[in-house]
Amino acid sequence: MDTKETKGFGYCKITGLTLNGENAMGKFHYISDVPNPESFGIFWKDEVSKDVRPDRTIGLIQLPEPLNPGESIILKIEFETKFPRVFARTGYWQTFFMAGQWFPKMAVFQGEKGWNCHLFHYRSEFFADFAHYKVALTVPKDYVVGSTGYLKNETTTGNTKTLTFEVDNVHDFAWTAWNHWKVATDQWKHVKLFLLYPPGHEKTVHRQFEALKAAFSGYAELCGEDYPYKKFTLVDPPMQASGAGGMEYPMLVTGMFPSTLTPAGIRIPETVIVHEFGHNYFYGMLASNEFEDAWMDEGMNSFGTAYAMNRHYKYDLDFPFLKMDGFDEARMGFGTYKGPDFPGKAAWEFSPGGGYSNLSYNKPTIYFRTLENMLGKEKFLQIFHTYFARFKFKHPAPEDFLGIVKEVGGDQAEDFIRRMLYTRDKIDYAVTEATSGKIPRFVGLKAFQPVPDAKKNKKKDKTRYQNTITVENRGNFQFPVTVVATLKDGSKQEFKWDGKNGWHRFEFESASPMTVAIVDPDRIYACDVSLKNNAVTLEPRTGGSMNKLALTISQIIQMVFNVTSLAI
Amino acid sequence: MNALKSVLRKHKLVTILYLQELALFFIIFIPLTIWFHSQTSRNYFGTTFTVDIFPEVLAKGGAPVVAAIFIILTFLLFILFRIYLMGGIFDSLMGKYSGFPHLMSESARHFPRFLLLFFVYGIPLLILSAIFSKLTGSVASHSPDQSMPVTMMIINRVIALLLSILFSFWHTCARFKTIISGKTKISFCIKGKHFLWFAGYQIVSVIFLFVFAGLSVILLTKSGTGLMIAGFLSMQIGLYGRNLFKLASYKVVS
Ligand SMILES: [Zn+2]
Repeated sequence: MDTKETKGFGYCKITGLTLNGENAMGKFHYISDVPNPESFGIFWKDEVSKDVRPDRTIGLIQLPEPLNPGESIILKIEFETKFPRVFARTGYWQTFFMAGQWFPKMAVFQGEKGWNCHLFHYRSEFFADFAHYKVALTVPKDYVVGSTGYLKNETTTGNTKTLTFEVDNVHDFAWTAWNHWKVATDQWKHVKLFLLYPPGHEKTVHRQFEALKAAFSGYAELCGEDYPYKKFTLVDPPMQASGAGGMEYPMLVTGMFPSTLTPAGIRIPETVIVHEFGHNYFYGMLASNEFEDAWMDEGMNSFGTAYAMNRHYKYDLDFPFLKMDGFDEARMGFGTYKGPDFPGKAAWEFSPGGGYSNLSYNKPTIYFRTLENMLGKEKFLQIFHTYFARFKFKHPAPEDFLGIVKEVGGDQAEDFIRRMLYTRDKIDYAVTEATSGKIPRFVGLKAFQPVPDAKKNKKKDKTRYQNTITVENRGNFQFPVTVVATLKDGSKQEFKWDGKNGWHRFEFESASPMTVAIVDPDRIYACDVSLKNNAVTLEPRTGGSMNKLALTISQIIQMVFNVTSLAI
Repeated sequence: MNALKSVLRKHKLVTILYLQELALFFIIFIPLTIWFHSQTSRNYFGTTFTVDIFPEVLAKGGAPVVAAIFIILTFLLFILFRIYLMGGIFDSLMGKYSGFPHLMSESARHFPRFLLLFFVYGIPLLILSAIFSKLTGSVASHSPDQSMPVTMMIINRVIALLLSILFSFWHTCARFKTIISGKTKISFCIKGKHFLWFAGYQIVSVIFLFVFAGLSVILLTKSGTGLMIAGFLSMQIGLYGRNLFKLASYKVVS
């Protein structure tokens, strides 16, 4: 961390080091202090940018002699950490503490690829190895502590108490301590749930537990297995320390409740809780390298969030006049992206114009949703079930996942996901033209028809209509699509198009005029970048809603103007 | 109650004020409706009304900027015209209503002085409200209790309301004195009984507006053209009542 020890800044520095019991401080160097740090190959050269320089967030310990397979050493590291004022993720506010990234963490050894370690900065993601943790925290007696792991021991001496936590098979350890914490508990199957919330949030406890349990159930369904640990802590930080909110750690996550007045129809707190819990599957147990493949954590997890939210609540934004689910949000977010990037890149390889989060979160969400619609739910879930069962606790890489998509979903599914990750290929179907016109009657022809038939037809033989629909594939995938024409009498005509050859025209006759021509009416292609061009309406049906929207906006303005002129 | 009765007898004044609000409604509503229909009638959004309409249609091509500029300009015109109308309305509140042309000519006569008074009372009110909101905000941000922001917000709103009633009372006194003397007069009059009646009518006027606006929201969230019209009418009744009680509060001071 930064060397500035001024007020408000934090740091973590190594104060002592022993190697197999002997002082080894002389063998320790921060990477910023060694010449030519890139030569060690522990972080990626292009990770270093104008804002991110080799700094004291990586340290090196050079062993006197190489360590052979099967051999071991014992390293003891003494360190001192000063917490910053909460700005992002970690720090303090008054007596509140949220401790994340607070101790020197071992880099991940990847066999022939060597050590994998990245600089720690504002936009960092995380990657670490699984380990057994035993952490003893000494805090003032009246403090309430929440943390990763299970409480094994608690002793009190004078005005302080020491809590010892232990757990196996996690790759990080976070804790929080505050003398104002209030604690609520609940249960999901075998898991004991803790909620630490600030005073004043009593009425939000129910909402927070409901969301947490929705997350447990949703991710169990998506990944095929229940959350395996026996304890889970949800931290609802005070708003003054909101920078600590919305962050994931093993067995502990921080949520976010912006205000006690947040209406039930605005499910932002719920979405954050579900999302952060979900990381315990992708970041916590699968533990892919988030630095290099953010989509494997954030992307899959954002899909998981939308999936779990949709499963339990249906909508994230739920008002009688406005409803929106996570897939809508992702599609609308991704729709605004016009840049040159795609998700399958390391965080620092994205163009500086932005798009990292849009591509890492939103794009995978709607493409996975599309895949779910294309394969059917059962087969789609089978992909995630197989992936989780085979790779949990194993740090899977992109090819591991793509291999399973191919194995379970087939070549087309794999091609789709691969192109989502490594190309800018998109889906965009459009109805470019729709016409419906009366067919002129040829009286002369009728004269040739035999009399009984003519009589029979007399009743039915009203005006007939000639209809045309032109559809266009403006995207890069050639998937089959459904086209539906709705007629004035309410009946529908369905057509199939293979999506090939750029465009296609359907022509048909009907007894009633066509009012709407729509492509992909069931929204199978959830990632279609433009919904506007998916239909041509010959007789609009939503005029009433438009009027109402305009009326509502006008009335809001009337109200605001009137209230503003209170003193005039 | 005399003030209210007197204003009811001069209900044309209330109607004039209300018509300004109705005009505002149509100035916003007509272009908005035409724009919505022109943008959506032929495409997907003519079939189904989904949230995608915001990014794909309504937020396209600088539309939000145009809308914001339009609304700000409308707001300035609205306030200026209101200050203008108040000249004639105050004049008629003191004497009798002698037709719209007369009211307009009185408005024109008092406008410069009324505009000056608006700034004299409006600016300190804004500054004081900002100071109080900073103070209450600071109390909230130092408390671990998360219900504090809400408590402080309520306190802040109440202070803002009381302050604006007080300033409005002085503003009203000053406007009457200005009309009587024919010169710009600043006043910080303290007449306890008058102030209580004034504050009472003001508070009733605000409550009246919020009740009917709330009813309007409830009606608008239901579907059906009839309920939509009922929602519209409810809001307009709220605005009419608001102006009625507001003028009654002014009448108290005259
Ligand atoms: Zn996340």
